[in-house]
Amino acid sequence: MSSELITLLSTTLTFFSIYVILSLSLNLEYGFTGIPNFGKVFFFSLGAYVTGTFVPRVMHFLFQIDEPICSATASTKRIVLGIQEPAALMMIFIMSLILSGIIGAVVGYILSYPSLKLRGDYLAISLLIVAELCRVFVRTEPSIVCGTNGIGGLPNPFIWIEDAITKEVSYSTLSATIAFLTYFFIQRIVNSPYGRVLKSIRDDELASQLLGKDVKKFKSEVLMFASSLSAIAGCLYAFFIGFVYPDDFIIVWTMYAWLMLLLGGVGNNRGVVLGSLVMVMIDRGLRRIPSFWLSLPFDISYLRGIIFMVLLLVIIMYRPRGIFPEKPLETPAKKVFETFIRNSLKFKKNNLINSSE
Amino acid sequence: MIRDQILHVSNLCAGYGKTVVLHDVSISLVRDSLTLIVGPNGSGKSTLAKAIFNLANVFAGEIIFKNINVTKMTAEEKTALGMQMIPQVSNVFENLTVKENLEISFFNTRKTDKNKKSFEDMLEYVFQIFPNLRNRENDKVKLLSGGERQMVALARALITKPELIIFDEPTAMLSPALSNFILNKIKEINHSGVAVMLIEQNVKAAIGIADYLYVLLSGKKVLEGPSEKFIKDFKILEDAFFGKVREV
Amino acid sequence: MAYGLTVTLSSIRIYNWAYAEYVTISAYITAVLSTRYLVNIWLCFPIAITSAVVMSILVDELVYKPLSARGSTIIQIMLASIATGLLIRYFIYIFASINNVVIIKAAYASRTIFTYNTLVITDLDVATILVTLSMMIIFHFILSKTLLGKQIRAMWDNFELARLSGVKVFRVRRFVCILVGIPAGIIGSLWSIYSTVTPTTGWILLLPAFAAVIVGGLVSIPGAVVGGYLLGLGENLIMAIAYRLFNISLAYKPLLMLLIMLLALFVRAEIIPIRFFTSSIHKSIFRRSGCK
Repeated sequence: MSSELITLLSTTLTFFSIYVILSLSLNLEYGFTGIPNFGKVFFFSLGAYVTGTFVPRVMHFLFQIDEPICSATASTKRIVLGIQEPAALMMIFIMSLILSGIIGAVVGYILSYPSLKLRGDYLAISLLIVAELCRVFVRTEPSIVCGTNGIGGLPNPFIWIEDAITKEVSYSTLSATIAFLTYFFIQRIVNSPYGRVLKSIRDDELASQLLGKDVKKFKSEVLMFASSLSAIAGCLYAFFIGFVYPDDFIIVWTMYAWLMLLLGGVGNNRGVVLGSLVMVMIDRGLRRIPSFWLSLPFDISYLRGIIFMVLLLVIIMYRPRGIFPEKPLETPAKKVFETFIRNSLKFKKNNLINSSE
Repeated sequence: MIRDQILHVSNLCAGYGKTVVLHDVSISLVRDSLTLIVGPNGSGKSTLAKAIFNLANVFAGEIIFKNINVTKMTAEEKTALGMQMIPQVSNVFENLTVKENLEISFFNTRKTDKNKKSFEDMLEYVFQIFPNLRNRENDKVKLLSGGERQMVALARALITKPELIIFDEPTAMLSPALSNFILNKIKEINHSGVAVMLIEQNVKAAIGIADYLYVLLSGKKVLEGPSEKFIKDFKILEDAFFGKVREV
Repeated sequence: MAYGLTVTLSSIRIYNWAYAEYVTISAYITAVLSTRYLVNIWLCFPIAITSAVVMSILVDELVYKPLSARGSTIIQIMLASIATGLLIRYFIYIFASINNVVIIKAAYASRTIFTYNTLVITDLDVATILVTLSMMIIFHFILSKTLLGKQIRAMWDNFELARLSGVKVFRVRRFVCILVGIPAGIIGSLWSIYSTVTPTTGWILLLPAFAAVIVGGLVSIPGAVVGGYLLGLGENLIMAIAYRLFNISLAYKPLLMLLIMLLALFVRAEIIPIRFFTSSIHKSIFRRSGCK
């Protein structure tokens, strides 16, 4: 295989993993618990901001870099140091992953407190506005990630590997592992008694409250967990692209997460993974096209956005529960029940035949 | 078709979304009569009323009003023909005043001459029937009591001079004294020459004022007949409610 | 701005995020026409307003109507409205980058008509205030006095009953679209004279409006106006004080707005019992005519 193809594949895999984590956490919130989170990009960007603030400062502290954090020389120095000190770099990477997770969880928990008292639509609006206002704040405030210019020089944790292909592949393998773990955990949660409580909250909040479940506690726990996951995705994204730029994190990310959710199917984890795969294929594919045969007088990303939004609108209109919606679980009890129904129907039919004779 | 029928519903199948609630229901209302529709909870009474106004999905069947086939018409067009319905819940515009409630209804229905003068006349007519509303004319309906709301709802329908009014459980959530008052008003309205289709759960209270009676049970018409017959033999009705249908 | 928003909000029961793009479109139209084609600025206004209205009707026909006919939930409609808004915005981006007008300002030099120390009032300021005020008064008149306004309010209140009362709901809805498009057009054109237009102009303008709507309570128009003023006033006043006293950077403005909004959310969630207070304010200020 040519090295170019491998690079393409590993980039796709990395993005795929990030998208999967993001969409699965949204599925946990909306698909299983019924929290319409329109501030997904906020929690995602939180991870990136944490990385963008934490990594350079720690590196500057550890290696005594004198230049201001935002300067270009500092960012090249950071990259060089990353190549020289692999062990420290890995430590920093792991620490910032954990830190993003924790901060995501904390912020998610704090925000869940006022917002879960709101009705679904209010919640959606307020989370959206919170996300957007925070972006505006971060881009105007230079002390966080250097304002509008963003911060660069976040070394890829495998930057010390000399072979470029191995480097790419190891990072994508790492993110894929994290994505798989996420999938595994969410699948476990959803099919546990805890998950059944979540589904009951989604279907009828009042009823599950009357069954003695603390709905608010469950909801804020879910929001906490999902936000933590999205922050981890944000951290992975920041390390992958190597810089944090506040204007990246506009509402489009939220819409992408929803698109992946709907492409797959609300409340269907496997479907959501598939949806992310479709999405990442279109995304990466469109990025590759113009170099071969399509020359446009404008940025290809606009075309991509139009395609995605049209796709989203079409899905909302014709398949509002997603393309592969949730199916009833095949539990042993359900099988027993179905056989019972089938048998009793047979019995009735026999009886009717008998009586007519 | 009988000459003096005002509304004829034949073989109606209706429901919400894809769910069928009403199965093959046929009823007909005689001009100037008061027809009572009874049935236990979930028997499809409200669905029938909504389906007649095309607010529920009609899958099959025909609705004929004054020899016009109105099955496909929208609710707005139907009100213009002189049909009115008073829904069971939220039957008033809460954030509007009493007068505005009546205005909206008056100026949007029946293409007769609409001017301030005729509105004032009708307002006077309605206030004669419900004197309580006269001094609450400019109050928001939100602030009114349950009984007064029901009066506004009735007045809203009456002010359009309809030929047919469908009442969907007008006495639900009212005290016995108030329900009697409302039922008497309905009887009065009926006597003034308006055909009434009354949907009720409280059979005993309503059967006295009714001319004809239909019983719905889980979406199907199970019994019908002149109400005197049922007053004499109330047991038939009771049995019908519990699922035992006898031939009348 | 907040005005047009609440009208759509409550009449179609939609959180209309695409509204921002109507504003952007009309801003671009004014700016491009006046700079590229040298159209008189006063002629640009009606063109911009018409296009905003057309856009509003188009979006309603193509997106919202099919969705509400399907019986979509409010979350789905919201999602669709954001998607529609982004879709329009991408088209604007494409248009802008092809024609090289990503940042543009309408050709109009404002005249200073009043100066006092550092306070400078231009004719534009006066025009804006006048237009906003007259828009408010006209809307209030339409909603409270005309039959159309009463029908609109009836529709907000109870859609099904409005149909049963013979309100031709789809025609009224069309009127609402027109009514809502007009302020979008005016705001967009005014903005393009005021400041530079970018494809995200509408979105940036819309955020405070939505915050104002949340602050003022989602359905009540006086509430949104009061909310808007509170937000604007509070923001500017507090920031000015903070800047003078503690030398806090003006960059914290969005943060402050965020705080105000979160506070309002707490209130709306009825954690702080302020309901009584607001309702009495409404009554005394806006409903005086209705009280005997």
